[in-house]
Amino acid sequence: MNIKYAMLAAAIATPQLAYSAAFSSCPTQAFLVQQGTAHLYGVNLATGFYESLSSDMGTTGKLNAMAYNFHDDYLYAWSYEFNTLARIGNDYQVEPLTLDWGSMSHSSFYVGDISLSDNAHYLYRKGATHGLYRVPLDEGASDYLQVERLIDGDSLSLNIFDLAFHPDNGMLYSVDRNGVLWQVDPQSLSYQNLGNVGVSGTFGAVYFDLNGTLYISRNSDGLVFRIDVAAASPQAEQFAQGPSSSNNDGARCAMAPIADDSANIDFGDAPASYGSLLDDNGARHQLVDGAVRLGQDVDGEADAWQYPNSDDNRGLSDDEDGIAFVTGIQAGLDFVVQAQVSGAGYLNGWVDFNRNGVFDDNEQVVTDNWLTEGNHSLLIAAPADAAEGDSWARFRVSSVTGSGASGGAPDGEVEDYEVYISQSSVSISCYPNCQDYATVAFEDNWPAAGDYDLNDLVINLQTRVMSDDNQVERIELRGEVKAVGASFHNGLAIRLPGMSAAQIDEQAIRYEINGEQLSASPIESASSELVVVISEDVREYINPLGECNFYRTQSDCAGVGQLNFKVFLPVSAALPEQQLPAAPYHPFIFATEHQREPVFAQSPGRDLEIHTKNTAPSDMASEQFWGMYQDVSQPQSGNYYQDAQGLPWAIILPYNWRHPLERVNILSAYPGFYLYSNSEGEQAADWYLLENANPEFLYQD
Amino acid sequence: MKQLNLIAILATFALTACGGGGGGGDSSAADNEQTTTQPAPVETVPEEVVEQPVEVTPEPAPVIEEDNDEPYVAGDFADISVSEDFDFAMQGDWQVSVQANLASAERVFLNLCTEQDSYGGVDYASCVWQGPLATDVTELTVTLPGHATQLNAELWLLGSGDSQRIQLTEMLSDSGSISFSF
Repeated sequence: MNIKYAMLAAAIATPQLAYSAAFSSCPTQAFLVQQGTAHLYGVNLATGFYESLSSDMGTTGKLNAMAYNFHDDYLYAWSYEFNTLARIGNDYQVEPLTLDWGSMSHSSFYVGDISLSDNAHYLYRKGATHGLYRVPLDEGASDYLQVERLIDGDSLSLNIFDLAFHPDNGMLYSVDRNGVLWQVDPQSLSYQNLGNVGVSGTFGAVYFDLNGTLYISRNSDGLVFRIDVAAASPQAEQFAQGPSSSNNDGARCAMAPIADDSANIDFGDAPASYGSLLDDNGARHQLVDGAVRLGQDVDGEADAWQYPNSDDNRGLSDDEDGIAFVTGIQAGLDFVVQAQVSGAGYLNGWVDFNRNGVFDDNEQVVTDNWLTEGNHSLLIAAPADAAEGDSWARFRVSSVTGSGASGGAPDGEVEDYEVYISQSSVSISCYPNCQDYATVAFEDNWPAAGDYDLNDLVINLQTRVMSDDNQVERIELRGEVKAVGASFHNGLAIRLPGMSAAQIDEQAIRYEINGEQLSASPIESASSELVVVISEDVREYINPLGECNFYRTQSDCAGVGQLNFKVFLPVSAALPEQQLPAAPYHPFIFATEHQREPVFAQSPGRDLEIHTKNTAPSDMASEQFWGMYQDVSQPQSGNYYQDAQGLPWAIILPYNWRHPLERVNILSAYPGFYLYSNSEGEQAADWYLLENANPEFLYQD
Repeated sequence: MKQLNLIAILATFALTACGGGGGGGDSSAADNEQTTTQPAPVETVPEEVVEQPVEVTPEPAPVIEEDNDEPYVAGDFADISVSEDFDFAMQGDWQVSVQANLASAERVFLNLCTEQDSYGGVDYASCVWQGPLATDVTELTVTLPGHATQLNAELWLLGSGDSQRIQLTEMLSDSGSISFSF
């Protein structure tokens, strides 16, 4: 036989040499192999969501002891059909490997992992005739595929069903059927009982992530638990709900984070204490097309937008639309919640009745309630000892049962809500309504004309009034700066005309900026009326380093910073609802000490206020600016802040308004403003709605 | 919308705090809402279904103005001219009168909302006032956005472990006042 024919014959006799390609990189997802005829799944450990990768892996038998090799980006697993180790590439086909066992006999293996430090597969089986074996996988090494038994299975006798290498310390870890966490040193072959993690069962798939967190998957119910193996007393925490199976083995690249940057998970957004972030094992659901959800909308994030940074406050991405608190929550009484479900699934819900910042087990108000498509009204009992005040509620829907207040779910949605728990019969009056925000838009060049893009300062604003028996108990001002399309520095305030600071219990005010409660009072003491100063200078929070001057008015200037505010004003004396000024009161901006050229050579500071048309300024404002530049105000006639065309420098829209891009005139963005203005509101009263806009001229996140 | 119209949707149903649910036999738009049983975390309420007769107010068929589908056309900005008194207020205050017989339930709760959901029920995201009623006649002032075309009044009659819901809808007019009589 000549050499040419010899090579051809060798190729025909060893088809496995036509190796499949390696995986392209260290993947985030985990691999799970199940069933008597191996079926490979990809699993998102953050949620437990899994999808089939291959039901035909080129073998009629099962695979086990599967591991991901960080060194060559192949999977390796013990093939029961071929009774040897097999390599699996990106086509998911097994390629049996010929191992050199020397004089050793062997049986099959269902426990194994690949070391991150020495490129070898470690196989383990309990029993005197078995043990812990090392299979070198470096094709360039002289000991490639030469099996070495490191210790017999009596000397290392563990009731484990998988094991995993720690990404940093080189140790092997597993949890046995009794819940004992074991650590094995593959060098010294010593092993250590690290304590009971609090859960038991057959953990057929165990994995590490980049941070050294161990994940164990229980065969019987598919629950995934995570364990901090470095803790003094490691405990298992339920993390996600994955697939269950009697035959289960898993592998993942331990050098990959548990979740990537793709926004394919819906997270809760309640404050940190309730658990929203992935690091906090926050409530989260895999986004799956066509899966059950709450309401109509659901959005995905790479991680939680946790209060007060919730993306839901910005209106356009508010997907909290499935739960409604139909009646108020009053201690000791039933209240009604409406759940709107798209699809069908199991609903779970919690209300933090004792306001301790967590959802306690006894605060679960809905448990695995199967709901079909449509609206469902739920009658829920509030405990008699529920604590009065602001709190949070969380509702989750999924196709699987058992969702907790935290942790991942393979589909569905989580929605978090701020709620108020009362001790009496409280009513609430809201502007523009109890969920959405109005918009206040300013041109800040006053008294000079600007470019009339109405985006120099744009804020969202919602007001609420809580009353008991027609007496006002609390006034709430909530909002956020949406855009700053100018270089001027402006303060932001809201005046409540006809009211004075004496009517407010100033000591009990709750004043939050970006979720942080401030000790200073927001009430402007020098004003005779009640003026709440949200911020003396919004630029202290928005784009403070001046990277760009058109925060959220130019597409390339998303900027940095945030100004989210919440001011609760408890009323100290009797105040009938009828004496309260109309919402949304008088939001206005005022100048700061920063330059205001070219309109003013020297900034007028607090003396200059800008209000909506025909709204009188506060008594802190100077009268010297009337009639300057384009202003034609006539204070003696009650006409303020208007130009010769009668146009204002500020408008309030009872709608979460999409403001124009920088230097885009309002008429280009909203043509209906022309008809609305010239008809003085008789026509085109809905000019500001998105459907009446030219969207190409609007800022979009 | 310049014409006053009245749409009355009375949908009653019951829900229970424990055990099997079941709604009334109403076939109105709000009937899509389903009654669901829910375990009460604190107290157990006897399983009970309360069904109320369905009432339909004999009002004429509503006349809905056609929406103007034509896009707005802008003129020249310099041609805008507005009187000095027009203040660009894009919302208005409305006087709302609600009449209900409170003796029929332990507690009566009212929601005033500007929009309906896709099932014809109240869209709670649009509620401008929510609270208990203390007297048979309640007078309220609410601020409504200029683009609102209707106001929905939803009454919840709450008892021990059961509830009923009634919804009335009125189209907004120029009158500045609305009356709901349950």
